[in-house]
Amino acid sequence: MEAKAERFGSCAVITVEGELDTTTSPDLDALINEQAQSTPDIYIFGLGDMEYISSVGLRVFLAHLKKVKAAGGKMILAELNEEVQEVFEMAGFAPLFEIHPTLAAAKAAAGI
Amino acid sequence: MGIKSLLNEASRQRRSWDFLQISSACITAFYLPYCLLFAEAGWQQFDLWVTLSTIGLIDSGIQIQTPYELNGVYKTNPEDIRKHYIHSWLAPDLISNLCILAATFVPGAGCLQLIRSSQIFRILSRWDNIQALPPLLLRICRYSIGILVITNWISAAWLWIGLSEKSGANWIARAGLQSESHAKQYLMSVYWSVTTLASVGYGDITPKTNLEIIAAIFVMGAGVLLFAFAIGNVVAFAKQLDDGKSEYRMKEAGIRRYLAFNGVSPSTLTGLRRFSEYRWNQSRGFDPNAIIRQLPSTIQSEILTEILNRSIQNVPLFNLAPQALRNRLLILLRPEIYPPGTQILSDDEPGNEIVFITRGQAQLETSESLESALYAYGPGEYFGDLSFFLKERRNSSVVAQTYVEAFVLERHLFDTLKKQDPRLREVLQAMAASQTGRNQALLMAGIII
Repeated sequence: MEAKAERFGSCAVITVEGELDTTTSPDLDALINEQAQSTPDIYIFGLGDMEYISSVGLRVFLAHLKKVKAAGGKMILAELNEEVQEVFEMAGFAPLFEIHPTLAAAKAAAGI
Repeated sequence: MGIKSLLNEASRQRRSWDFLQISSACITAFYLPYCLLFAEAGWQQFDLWVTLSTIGLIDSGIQIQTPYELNGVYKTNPEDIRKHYIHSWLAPDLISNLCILAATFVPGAGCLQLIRSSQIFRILSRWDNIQALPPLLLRICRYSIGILVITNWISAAWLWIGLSEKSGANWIARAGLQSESHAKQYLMSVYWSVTTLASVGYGDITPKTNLEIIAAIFVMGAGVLLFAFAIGNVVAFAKQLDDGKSEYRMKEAGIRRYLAFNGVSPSTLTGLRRFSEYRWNQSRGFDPNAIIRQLPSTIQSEILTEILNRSIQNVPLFNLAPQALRNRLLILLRPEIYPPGTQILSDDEPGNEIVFITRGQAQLETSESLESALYAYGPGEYFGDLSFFLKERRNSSVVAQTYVEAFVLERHLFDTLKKQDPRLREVLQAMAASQTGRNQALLMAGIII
């Protein structure tokens, strides 16, 4: 798994590639924590190249979502592949996030 | 009362009309012989017989338009219906209902009304065909009324013999009943018929004249057949009442004996016995799914929807699915019954199943501490979805607290159905919205079920 972060004002754009499983999830968790130091209002996750998400990976998103929402911010997910989208939709997690089909649409929704 | 509902054999209005016909036929079968015997000065109760004949003619008008079933085919073609009635019961019905017109100038013509009695058995037989009442009840009614009608007609015939032999040596005179009322004479005739048919024969009324002796021989012969038939049927009814359960229990006991012989533990056998008892109480020993699956698929889903209507009405998977998809799901999902204490989903197994509870209570078993509401699963709720969609092994179990009846969606079926009908995905997505809070709490506690 490879994750990169970019800042656009109060918005952090994080792109994830590869498999988000038990081994790789702590890296994403650390990256989000690093971004959280500068308290962005909006997190955008570009997941177009993320092939797989495990329960541990999902927990990373849910744990940060709780904190972000408590601080009045929001998390946007973009470009989910079919398999990952199925996990979010069918297991009931989709309503918790704002989900866009493309990264451009997600950025436009965040005003960047 | 609309004519359309009267033409439907299964409608409530038609049932009421049939009751009227049975009443009319019973009055004819039981009361007409008495009136015929004592009709010294013309007809007794002439208005009554005219009314019953009029009702009978209206019934012919209804029957000639009523669709009927033949070999499982529902015939609605008016021409077929007309022919069917004309070739079967039109002539007897017209004779029984029009003979009243001839009765005033042709002596004895009124007795042709007795043909109307056949309506009782025709209607009961039709109810049997369309299964309007339990078959056992219909059989009891048919045989009881049949025996009573035959007894009454024998009584009337015996009284007619007594009245027609004017010599003073007839049985009425010998029994000292000449000055008694008609009703008393008729009652004594019924009494003689019953005692003779039942082979009791007290001997207070005995045949002496040739005609009486011939009649008595026939009645005794008929009595042997009639009461043997009646007793045989009573025994059959009594046996039938308990037959199903006895047969079911014997079969289950045989299975348990076989299992015990092969070393299955007594506690497992007790569990099996309790499960058998539960299944008897729920489905009278039948496996509805096994029976239903032998039927054509169009009838399968219709029956399953109707028999499961109450139990699936709270299950969102079926509520949210469009009719066609719901029918397919009902046929394809695996129905299961889990006895109390059994693991419905076990930990450390791959998440390849989602379980939808229709009846009973189940509980999540985990070492993690959760809000109490999150442990319990009841009718309309489902589980197994987290491990199913994450494609992970479960790390907790769900155990039945009571008997749990459920439908199980297996992965291979989900994958096939998802490709064939994209609406399944929409339904599951809509359903998952109700699961968000629970799944979030479970996942954050590290529980995968």
